[in-house]
Amino acid sequence: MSSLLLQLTLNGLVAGSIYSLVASGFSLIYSTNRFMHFAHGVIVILAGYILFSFYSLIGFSFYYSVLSTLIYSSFIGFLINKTIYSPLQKKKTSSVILLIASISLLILFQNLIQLFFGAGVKDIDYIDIQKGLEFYEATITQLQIITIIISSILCVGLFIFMKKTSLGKEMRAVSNNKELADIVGINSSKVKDLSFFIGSFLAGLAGILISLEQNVSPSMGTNLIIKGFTGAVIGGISSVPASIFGSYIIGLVENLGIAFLPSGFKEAISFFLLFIFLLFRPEGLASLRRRVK
Amino acid sequence: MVYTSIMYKKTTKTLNIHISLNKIMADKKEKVEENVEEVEKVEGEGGGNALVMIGIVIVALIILVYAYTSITGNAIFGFDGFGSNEVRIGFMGPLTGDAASYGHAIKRGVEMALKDSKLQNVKIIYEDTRCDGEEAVSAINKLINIDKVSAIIGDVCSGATLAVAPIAEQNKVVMISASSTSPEITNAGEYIFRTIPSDTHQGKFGAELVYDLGLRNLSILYGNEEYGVGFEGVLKENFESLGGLVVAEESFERGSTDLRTQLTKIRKARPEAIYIISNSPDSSVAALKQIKQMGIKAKVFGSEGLKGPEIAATKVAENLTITSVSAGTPAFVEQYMREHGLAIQPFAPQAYDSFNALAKAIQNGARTGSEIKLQLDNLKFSGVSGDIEFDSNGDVSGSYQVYRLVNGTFVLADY
Repeated sequence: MSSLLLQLTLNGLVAGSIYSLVASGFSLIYSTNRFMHFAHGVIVILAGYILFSFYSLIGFSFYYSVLSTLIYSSFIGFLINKTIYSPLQKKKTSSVILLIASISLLILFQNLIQLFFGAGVKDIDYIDIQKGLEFYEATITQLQIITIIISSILCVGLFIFMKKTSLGKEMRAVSNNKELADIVGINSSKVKDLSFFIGSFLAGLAGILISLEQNVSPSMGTNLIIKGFTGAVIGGISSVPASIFGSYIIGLVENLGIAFLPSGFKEAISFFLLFIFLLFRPEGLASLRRRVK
Repeated sequence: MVYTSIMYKKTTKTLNIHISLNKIMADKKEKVEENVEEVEKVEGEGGGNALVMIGIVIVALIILVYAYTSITGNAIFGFDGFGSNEVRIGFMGPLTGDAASYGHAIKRGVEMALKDSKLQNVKIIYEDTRCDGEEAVSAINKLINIDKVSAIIGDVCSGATLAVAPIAEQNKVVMISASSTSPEITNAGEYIFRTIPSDTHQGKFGAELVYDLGLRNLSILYGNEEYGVGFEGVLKENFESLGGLVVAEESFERGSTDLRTQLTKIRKARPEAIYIISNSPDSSVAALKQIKQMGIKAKVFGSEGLKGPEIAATKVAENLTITSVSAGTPAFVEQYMREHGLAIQPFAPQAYDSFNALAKAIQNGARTGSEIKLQLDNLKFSGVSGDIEFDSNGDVSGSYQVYRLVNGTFVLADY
């Protein structure tokens, strides 16, 4: 039983790492912009396909492809904000309209990708699939270890960035009270652009890791953004560290949960958790800490 | 350092602001009132912006319409009028979404049959259902009420077919599926036909195949939907009645790509064989990769849903054994290659036969759904997927073949 639990915990950590990359970008953008950017999933899919085109179709070197994928994804996120969201926000559009716009973007891009690349599953043939490393009867692949490490480094990095650097402080100021931030001379539109840039960079990274670990298909983003969103809500959507924490919880709970329940319940477990939180703690786990204070 | 000192200044500034907050808020109130007036003014002059917005909307619509038409092959504005003698046939299947490769294969089979039949008075209307029950219901309502079809080829996934079968039955519209294999469809209605045998047969065939290879401990990984659940039930029942033991049954949601926890449970049960029942290529590829990553030694079997190009392309699935319905006569396989430049895809031969069955009925003068049904009941011909003769439930009996994946191609294996 213990080896099973160890394996399931590892599975949960890998899933949680990927969810947290999506969730951190999502909640970073939410906290500065105050609307749900579901088109964040688009960046994940696009990153997979950009990497696929550069590495598998054109044949650039792997590291060059990864680097340009990251740059392109960050810019696409930035451009989505500039061309779609900012004009809408300038008209003081309500956040519901922005939410609908972001969902339509998600659907639009999914279909465009399918138009260009077809519906089939694509495989980025970089890593030879072989048996993972084994310890205490649990297996984990090198890529999965790298995924966990990258995700933890980024999470810590993001935390330090938000707490210590001036840009991070400006971001928190905008997230806390945009009007007050404007009054003290923080350029809130610059901060918003930056949050899209960084958030999309993280989504791009998630897309790369996912496409290496699993495969690339037009429908990969929707599932991830749903899980990322769930993680963010459980942790506390307007706080980046909290949503990272929430994503790990989702990853662990859904994987450990089906050790005892039939595996058909996997998705049900995370959505059940989402429901509970929406009903009783819509502010997420972050609200607990605040209350103690 | 410079930054931090600036930041420090900023923080103290924020504190000061806090102290004098009341004053500012009072100022702000006036400002807000001014702003409201300004906004009202701007909105009055907003003609230019509105035009830009309308422009954006129009461009977006054009892109959407283009995307829609090219994905579904539908004309949105094309109302072709009702020809006096025209018979309309609907097509329902996933042309987008993760099962789209099956949908497109079936569409190709149907198009080939339409071309070969040389029928001038038949028009096919294509609808995308994404293998989703709800989408299928709106598609069939459109096909029946607006397009006035007499027969429908589809749906592809069993779940979607079962969702719409009562609607077809009620409206006396013939439905003929080339790929829905759930045992439930046998009793779905008098107007529901299929050119692919029920999984009652494939489950039995698969169970015997595994058992005859001397493997006694089987685990089953199946998609949590009509197709997977139906097949799994038959497979388990037959394998256990032969004397084998099903040691693990794990399901997954269609399209999910993280199956590690299901596989962890399977690995713990130490099976000699794993049977994957999936009609989602996304999930199938992920399952095969993760079986290898987790070092599961069991022999891997798969249902016909795994016999696709994506699976063949993965380098992880060597020696995968697949049970499949007929892949078509050699002549058809060759014709498919010639016309589409593609190796034969699953369900294309069955799709060809589905249309041909309808074509034969139409050639015999059938026009309405009930006329076509009567013709189909007594129809018998030798198709590209085998002999087509519908029993009283609209099912065909069929034979299965066993394929093994060797060096990226599926080769017929004799067991």
